[in-house]
Amino acid sequence: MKHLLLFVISLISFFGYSQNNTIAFGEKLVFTASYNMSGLLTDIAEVKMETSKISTSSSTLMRLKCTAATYSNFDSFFKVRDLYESYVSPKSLTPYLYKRDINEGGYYKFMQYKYRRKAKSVESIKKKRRSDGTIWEEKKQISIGSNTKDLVATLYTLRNLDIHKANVGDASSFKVLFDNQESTVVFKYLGKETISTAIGRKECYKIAISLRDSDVLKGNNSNIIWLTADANKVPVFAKFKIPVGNGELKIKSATGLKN
Amino acid sequence: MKNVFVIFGFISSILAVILSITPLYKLALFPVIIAFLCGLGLVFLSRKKQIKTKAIQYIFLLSIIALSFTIYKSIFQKAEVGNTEELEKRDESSEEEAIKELEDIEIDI
Repeated sequence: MKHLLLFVISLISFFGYSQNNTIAFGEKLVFTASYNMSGLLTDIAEVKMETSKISTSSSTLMRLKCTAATYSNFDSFFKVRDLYESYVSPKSLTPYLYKRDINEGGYYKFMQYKYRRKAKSVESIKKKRRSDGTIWEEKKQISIGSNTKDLVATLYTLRNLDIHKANVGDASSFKVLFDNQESTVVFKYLGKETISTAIGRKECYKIAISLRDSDVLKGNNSNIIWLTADANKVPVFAKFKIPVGNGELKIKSATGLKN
Repeated sequence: MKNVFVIFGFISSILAVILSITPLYKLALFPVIIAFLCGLGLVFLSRKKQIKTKAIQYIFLLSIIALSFTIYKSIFQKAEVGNTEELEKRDESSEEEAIKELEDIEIDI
Protein backbone atom coordinates (compact mmCIF):
# COMPACT_ATOMS: atom_id res chain seq x y z
CA MET A 1 0.00 0.00 0.00
CA LYS A 2 2.86 2.33 0.92
CA HIS A 3 4.57 1.63 -2.37
CA LEU A 4 1.34 2.22 -4.26
CA LEU A 5 0.84 5.61 -2.58
CA LEU A 6 4.44 6.59 -3.29
CA PHE A 7 3.98 5.62 -6.91
CA VAL A 8 0.78 7.67 -7.26
CA ILE A 9 2.35 10.72 -5.61
CA SER A 10 5.46 10.42 -7.78
CA LEU A 11 3.33 10.22 -10.92
CA ILE A 12 1.57 13.45 -10.07
CA SER A 13 4.64 15.37 -8.98
CA PHE A 14 7.38 14.45 -11.46
CA PHE A 15 6.33 16.76 -14.28
CA GLY A 16 5.25 20.24 -13.29
CA TYR A 17 2.24 21.67 -15.09
CA SER A 18 2.01 25.36 -15.86
CA GLN A 19 -0.07 27.87 -17.82
CA ASN A 20 0.24 27.68 -21.58
CA ASN A 21 3.51 29.31 -22.62
CA THR A 22 4.28 26.92 -25.47
CA ILE A 23 1.45 26.94 -27.97
CA ALA A 24 0.53 30.02 -30.00
CA PHE A 25 -2.43 30.84 -32.22
CA GLY A 26 -1.60 30.20 -35.87
CA GLU A 27 0.90 27.41 -35.29
CA LYS A 28 1.12 24.83 -38.06
CA LEU A 29 3.03 21.55 -37.91
CA VAL A 30 3.11 19.20 -40.90
CA PHE A 31 4.17 15.56 -40.59
CA THR A 32 4.65 12.55 -42.82
CA ALA A 33 3.24 9.29 -41.48
CA SER A 34 5.04 6.13 -42.57
CA TYR A 35 4.10 2.52 -42.01
CA ASN A 36 6.80 -0.06 -41.47
CA MET A 37 6.25 -3.17 -43.54
CA SER A 38 8.88 -5.87 -43.00
CA GLY A 39 11.53 -3.23 -42.35
CA LEU A 40 10.59 -1.10 -45.37
CA LEU A 41 9.10 2.29 -44.53
CA THR A 42 6.34 3.48 -46.86
CA ASP A 43 5.00 7.03 -46.66
CA ILE A 44 1.25 6.72 -46.40
CA ALA A 45 -0.24 9.98 -45.17
CA GLU A 46 0.23 13.61 -44.30
CA VAL A 47 -0.71 14.70 -40.79
CA LYS A 48 -1.24 18.35 -39.90
CA MET A 49 -1.55 19.94 -36.46
CA GLU A 50 -2.87 23.49 -36.51
CA THR A 51 -4.04 26.03 -33.97
CA SER A 52 -6.32 29.02 -34.51
CA LYS A 53 -8.34 31.59 -32.58
CA ILE A 54 -12.08 31.07 -32.15
CA SER A 55 -14.32 33.75 -30.71
CA THR A 56 -17.74 33.18 -29.21
CA SER A 57 -20.00 35.90 -27.80
CA SER A 58 -18.46 35.49 -24.34
CA SER A 59 -14.95 34.13 -24.77
CA THR A 60 -11.96 33.48 -26.96
CA LEU A 61 -10.83 29.89 -27.36
CA MET A 62 -8.03 28.06 -29.11
CA ARG A 63 -8.96 25.56 -31.78
CA LEU A 64 -6.57 22.60 -31.94
CA LYS A 65 -7.05 20.84 -35.22
CA CYS A 66 -5.42 17.63 -36.41
CA THR A 67 -6.03 16.30 -39.89
CA ALA A 68 -4.78 13.17 -41.61
CA ALA A 69 -4.99 12.54 -45.36
CA THR A 70 -3.47 9.63 -47.26
CA TYR A 71 -1.22 10.30 -50.24
CA SER A 72 -2.86 10.09 -53.69
CA ASN A 73 -1.29 6.70 -54.55
CA PHE A 74 -2.96 5.21 -51.46
CA ASP A 75 -6.36 6.88 -52.04
CA SER A 76 -7.63 4.12 -54.34
CA PHE A 77 -6.24 1.52 -51.94
CA PHE A 78 -7.33 2.87 -48.52
CA LYS A 79 -8.47 6.50 -48.46
CA VAL A 80 -8.22 8.30 -45.12
CA ARG A 81 -9.60 11.76 -44.43
CA ASP A 82 -9.66 12.32 -40.67
CA LEU A 83 -10.46 15.46 -38.74
CA TYR A 84 -9.86 15.82 -35.00
CA GLU A 85 -10.65 19.06 -33.19
CA SER A 86 -10.52 20.30 -29.64
CA TYR A 87 -11.64 23.73 -28.50
CA VAL A 88 -9.60 24.65 -25.47
CA SER A 89 -8.86 27.51 -23.13
CA PRO A 90 -5.82 29.35 -24.56
CA LYS A 91 -4.42 29.77 -21.02
CA SER A 92 -4.86 26.35 -19.42
CA LEU A 93 -5.56 24.15 -22.49
CA THR A 94 -8.71 22.84 -20.75
CA PRO A 95 -11.02 21.44 -23.46
CA TYR A 96 -14.68 22.49 -23.77
CA LEU A 97 -15.63 20.83 -27.03
CA TYR A 98 -14.12 17.89 -28.88
CA LYS A 99 -14.98 16.59 -32.31
CA ARG A 100 -13.70 13.58 -34.19
CA ASP A 101 -14.86 13.09 -37.76
CA ILE A 102 -13.14 10.15 -39.40
CA ASN A 103 -13.50 8.65 -42.85
CA GLU A 104 -11.18 5.68 -43.31
CA GLY A 105 -11.57 3.39 -46.32
CA GLY A 106 -15.34 3.87 -46.39
CA TYR A 107 -15.69 3.58 -42.59
CA TYR A 108 -17.29 6.73 -41.16
CA LYS A 109 -17.49 7.73 -37.52
CA PHE A 110 -18.27 10.98 -35.73
CA MET A 111 -17.75 11.66 -32.02
CA GLN A 112 -18.50 14.85 -30.15
CA TYR A 113 -17.90 15.64 -26.49
CA LYS A 114 -19.44 18.71 -24.89
CA TYR A 115 -17.69 19.19 -21.58
CA ARG A 116 -19.79 20.29 -18.59
CA ARG A 117 -16.86 21.12 -16.35
CA LYS A 118 -18.90 22.11 -13.26
CA ALA A 119 -21.03 18.96 -13.41
CA LYS A 120 -17.91 16.85 -14.18
CA SER A 121 -19.66 15.26 -17.10
CA VAL A 122 -19.58 15.06 -20.87
CA GLU A 123 -22.46 15.02 -23.33
CA SER A 124 -21.37 12.59 -25.96
CA ILE A 125 -22.76 12.15 -29.47
CA LYS A 126 -21.64 9.18 -31.55
CA LYS A 127 -22.59 8.75 -35.21
CA LYS A 128 -21.72 5.80 -37.44
CA ARG A 129 -22.58 4.86 -40.98
CA ARG A 130 -24.50 1.61 -41.43
CA SER A 131 -23.74 -0.75 -44.33
CA ASP A 132 -26.84 0.55 -46.18
CA GLY A 133 -25.46 4.11 -46.04
CA THR A 134 -27.80 5.47 -43.35
CA ILE A 135 -26.38 7.06 -40.21
CA TRP A 136 -27.25 5.97 -36.68
CA GLU A 137 -26.76 8.23 -33.69
CA GLU A 138 -26.19 7.55 -30.00
CA LYS A 139 -26.29 10.19 -27.25
CA LYS A 140 -24.78 9.58 -23.82
CA GLN A 141 -24.02 11.41 -20.59
CA ILE A 142 -20.63 10.34 -19.20
CA SER A 143 -19.17 11.18 -15.79
CA ILE A 144 -15.53 12.27 -15.96
CA GLY A 145 -12.80 13.42 -13.60
CA SER A 146 -12.04 17.11 -13.17
CA ASN A 147 -8.82 16.85 -15.22
CA THR A 148 -10.02 14.51 -17.95
CA LYS A 149 -9.19 15.70 -21.46
CA ASP A 150 -9.56 14.41 -24.97
CA LEU A 151 -6.74 12.97 -27.07
CA VAL A 152 -5.91 16.18 -28.96
CA ALA A 153 -5.84 18.40 -25.87
CA THR A 154 -3.67 15.82 -24.06
CA LEU A 155 -1.15 15.84 -26.91
CA TYR A 156 -0.84 19.62 -26.65
CA THR A 157 -0.76 19.45 -22.84
CA LEU A 158 2.28 17.17 -23.10
CA ARG A 159 4.11 19.99 -24.88
CA ASN A 160 3.20 22.37 -22.08
CA LEU A 161 4.75 20.27 -19.30
CA ASP A 162 7.91 21.45 -17.56
CA ILE A 163 9.98 18.59 -18.93
CA HIS A 164 13.26 20.38 -18.17
CA LYS A 165 12.53 19.83 -14.46
CA ALA A 166 12.06 16.07 -14.87
CA ASN A 167 14.66 13.39 -14.22
CA VAL A 168 15.21 10.36 -16.44
CA GLY A 169 12.58 7.72 -15.58
CA ASP A 170 10.04 10.20 -14.21
CA ALA A 171 6.46 9.65 -15.31
CA SER A 172 3.24 11.59 -15.47
CA SER A 173 -0.27 10.28 -16.03
CA PHE A 174 -3.33 11.87 -17.60
CA LYS A 175 -6.96 10.84 -17.85
CA VAL A 176 -8.05 10.72 -21.48
CA LEU A 177 -11.57 10.25 -22.84
CA PHE A 178 -11.59 8.21 -26.04
CA ASP A 179 -14.55 6.35 -27.58
CA ASN A 180 -16.63 7.22 -24.47
CA GLN A 181 -14.08 5.43 -22.26
CA GLU A 182 -11.86 7.13 -19.72
CA SER A 183 -8.31 5.74 -19.90
CA THR A 184 -4.99 6.65 -18.31
CA VAL A 185 -2.16 7.75 -20.56
CA VAL A 186 1.31 7.61 -19.02
CA PHE A 187 4.19 9.76 -20.26
CA LYS A 188 7.65 8.61 -19.16
CA TYR A 189 10.74 10.77 -19.64
CA LEU A 190 13.57 8.69 -21.13
CA GLY A 191 16.22 11.41 -21.44
CA LYS A 192 17.66 13.71 -24.08
CA GLU A 193 18.75 12.74 -27.58
CA THR A 194 19.97 14.76 -30.57
CA ILE A 195 18.33 13.76 -33.85
CA SER A 196 18.34 15.03 -37.44
CA THR A 197 14.99 16.28 -38.70
CA ALA A 198 13.62 18.20 -41.70
CA ILE A 199 13.79 21.38 -39.59
CA GLY A 200 17.42 20.83 -38.61
CA ARG A 201 19.43 18.88 -36.08
CA LYS A 202 17.63 19.17 -32.77
CA GLU A 203 18.28 18.22 -29.18
CA CYS A 204 15.09 16.49 -28.05
CA TYR A 205 13.29 15.20 -25.01
CA LYS A 206 12.55 11.52 -25.53
CA ILE A 207 9.22 10.53 -24.01
CA ALA A 208 7.56 7.12 -23.93
CA ILE A 209 3.77 7.02 -24.18
CA SER A 210 1.66 4.12 -22.98
CA LEU A 211 -2.00 3.49 -22.36
CA ARG A 212 -2.68 1.70 -19.10
CA ASP A 213 -4.87 -1.45 -19.40
CA SER A 214 -5.17 -1.23 -23.16
CA ASP A 215 -3.85 -2.96 -26.26
CA VAL A 216 -4.04 0.16 -28.46
CA LEU A 217 -0.56 1.44 -27.63
CA LYS A 218 1.26 -1.81 -26.99
CA GLY A 219 4.64 -2.62 -25.55
CA ASN A 220 7.02 -1.15 -23.00
CA ASN A 221 8.72 2.03 -24.26
CA SER A 222 7.74 1.11 -27.84
CA ASN A 223 5.72 4.28 -28.46
CA ILE A 224 8.15 7.16 -28.24
CA ILE A 225 7.83 10.83 -29.09
CA TRP A 226 10.74 13.27 -29.50
CA LEU A 227 9.99 16.88 -28.48
CA THR A 228 12.54 19.61 -29.16
CA ALA A 229 14.33 20.56 -25.96
CA ASP A 230 13.50 24.24 -26.33
CA ALA A 231 10.63 26.51 -25.30
CA ASN A 232 8.40 25.33 -28.19
CA LYS A 233 8.71 21.59 -27.49
CA VAL A 234 7.80 20.78 -31.08
CA PRO A 235 7.08 17.09 -31.69
CA VAL A 236 9.59 16.28 -34.45
CA PHE A 237 9.56 12.52 -34.52
CA ALA A 238 7.42 9.70 -33.16
CA LYS A 239 7.62 5.93 -33.28
CA PHE A 240 4.51 3.96 -32.50
CA LYS A 241 3.56 0.33 -32.22
CA ILE A 242 -0.03 -0.70 -32.76
CA PRO A 243 -1.61 -4.19 -32.87
CA VAL A 244 -1.23 -4.27 -36.70
CA GLY A 245 2.41 -3.22 -36.93
CA ASN A 246 4.47 -0.10 -36.32
CA GLY A 247 5.05 3.25 -37.91
CA GLU A 248 6.75 6.61 -37.73
CA LEU A 249 5.73 10.24 -37.79
CA LYS A 250 8.36 12.69 -39.08
CA ILE A 251 8.09 16.45 -39.16
CA LYS A 252 8.10 18.17 -42.56
CA SER A 253 7.64 21.79 -41.53
CA ALA A 254 6.87 23.91 -38.47
CA THR A 255 5.56 27.48 -38.74
CA GLY A 256 3.97 30.05 -36.42
CA LEU A 257 5.82 28.85 -33.33
CA LYS A 258 5.43 30.87 -30.16
CA ASN A 259 9.08 31.18 -29.12
CA MET B 1 14.46 -29.97 -56.95
CA LYS B 2 14.06 -28.43 -60.39
CA ASN B 3 10.25 -28.32 -60.01
CA VAL B 4 10.53 -26.65 -56.59
CA PHE B 5 12.71 -23.87 -58.06
CA VAL B 6 10.37 -23.45 -61.05
CA ILE B 7 7.19 -23.26 -58.89
CA PHE B 8 8.70 -20.93 -56.25
CA GLY B 9 10.37 -18.84 -58.94
CA PHE B 10 7.16 -18.32 -60.89
CA ILE B 11 5.01 -17.62 -57.80
CA SER B 12 7.56 -15.11 -56.47
CA SER B 13 8.10 -13.32 -59.77
CA ILE B 14 4.35 -13.00 -60.48
CA LEU B 15 3.75 -11.77 -56.91
CA ALA B 16 6.59 -9.26 -57.36
CA VAL B 17 5.01 -7.87 -60.54
CA ILE B 18 1.59 -7.57 -58.83
CA LEU B 19 3.09 -5.84 -55.76
CA SER B 20 5.22 -3.51 -57.87
CA ILE B 21 2.15 -1.92 -59.48
CA THR B 22 0.34 -1.35 -56.13
CA PRO B 23 1.14 1.44 -53.61
CA LEU B 24 2.94 -1.25 -51.59
CA TYR B 25 5.57 -1.51 -54.35
CA LYS B 26 8.48 -1.52 -51.89
CA LEU B 27 7.32 -4.92 -50.66
CA ALA B 28 7.98 -6.32 -54.16
CA LEU B 29 11.70 -6.42 -53.27
CA PHE B 30 11.25 -9.58 -51.17
CA PRO B 31 9.63 -11.76 -53.89
CA VAL B 32 12.12 -10.30 -56.44
CA ILE B 33 15.02 -11.59 -54.28
CA ILE B 34 13.36 -15.02 -53.91
CA ALA B 35 12.66 -15.21 -57.67
CA PHE B 36 16.29 -14.28 -58.48
CA LEU B 37 17.59 -16.94 -56.09
CA CYS B 38 15.27 -19.54 -57.66
CA GLY B 39 16.43 -18.41 -61.13
CA LEU B 40 20.08 -18.76 -60.09
CA GLY B 41 19.31 -22.20 -58.63
CA LEU B 42 17.82 -23.25 -61.97
CA VAL B 43 20.86 -21.90 -63.86
CA PHE B 44 23.09 -23.97 -61.55
CA LEU B 45 20.95 -27.09 -62.14
CA SER B 46 20.84 -26.54 -65.92
CA ARG B 47 24.65 -26.58 -66.02
CA LYS B 48 24.78 -29.86 -64.11
CA LYS B 49 21.97 -31.56 -66.00
CA GLN B 50 20.72 -30.72 -69.44
CA ILE B 51 17.32 -29.11 -68.68
CA LYS B 52 15.19 -26.61 -70.61
CA THR B 53 16.03 -22.98 -69.87
CA LYS B 54 12.66 -21.45 -70.88
CA ALA B 55 11.44 -21.24 -67.26
CA ILE B 56 14.65 -19.47 -66.20
CA GLN B 57 14.13 -16.80 -68.84
CA TYR B 58 10.53 -16.14 -67.78
CA ILE B 59 11.44 -15.93 -64.06
CA PHE B 60 14.28 -13.47 -64.73
CA LEU B 61 12.13 -11.43 -67.14
CA LEU B 62 9.26 -11.04 -64.63
CA SER B 63 11.74 -10.23 -61.81
CA ILE B 64 13.42 -7.54 -63.92
CA ILE B 65 10.02 -6.02 -64.83
CA ALA B 66 9.03 -5.91 -61.11
CA LEU B 67 12.40 -4.48 -60.11
CA SER B 68 12.20 -1.83 -62.84
CA PHE B 69 8.73 -0.74 -61.68
CA THR B 70 9.92 -0.58 -58.06
CA ILE B 71 13.04 1.46 -58.86
CA TYR B 72 11.11 3.80 -61.20
CA LYS B 73 8.41 4.43 -58.56
CA SER B 74 10.99 4.94 -55.79
CA ILE B 75 12.79 7.61 -57.83
CA PHE B 76 10.01 9.41 -59.71
CA GLN B 77 6.85 8.99 -57.64
CA LYS B 78 6.37 11.95 -55.31
CA ALA B 79 4.26 11.63 -52.18
CA GLU B 80 1.43 14.11 -52.71
CA VAL B 81 -1.84 14.43 -50.88
CA GLY B 82 -4.86 13.76 -53.10
CA ASN B 83 -8.08 15.72 -53.26
CA THR B 84 -8.86 17.19 -49.83
CA GLU B 85 -11.71 19.46 -50.95
CA GLU B 86 -14.30 17.39 -49.08
CA LEU B 87 -12.15 17.42 -45.92
CA GLU B 88 -11.75 21.21 -46.17
CA LYS B 89 -15.53 21.61 -46.48
CA ARG B 90 -16.06 19.38 -43.43
CA ASP B 91 -13.45 21.43 -41.59
CA GLU B 92 -15.18 24.74 -42.36
CA SER B 93 -18.69 23.53 -41.53
CA SER B 94 -17.41 21.85 -38.35
CA GLU B 95 -15.86 25.13 -37.17
CA GLU B 96 -19.11 27.03 -37.83
CA GLU B 97 -21.13 24.40 -35.96
CA ALA B 98 -18.60 24.38 -33.11
CA ILE B 99 -19.02 28.13 -32.55
CA LYS B 100 -22.78 27.56 -32.16
CA GLU B 101 -22.19 24.60 -29.83
CA LEU B 102 -19.73 26.59 -27.71
CA GLU B 103 -22.37 29.27 -27.05
CA ASP B 104 -24.30 26.61 -25.16
CA ILE B 105 -21.32 25.60 -22.99
CA GLU B 106 -20.32 27.33 -19.77
CA ILE B 107 -16.72 28.42 -20.31
CA ASP B 108 -14.60 29.39 -17.35
CA ILE B 109 -11.28 30.62 -18.73
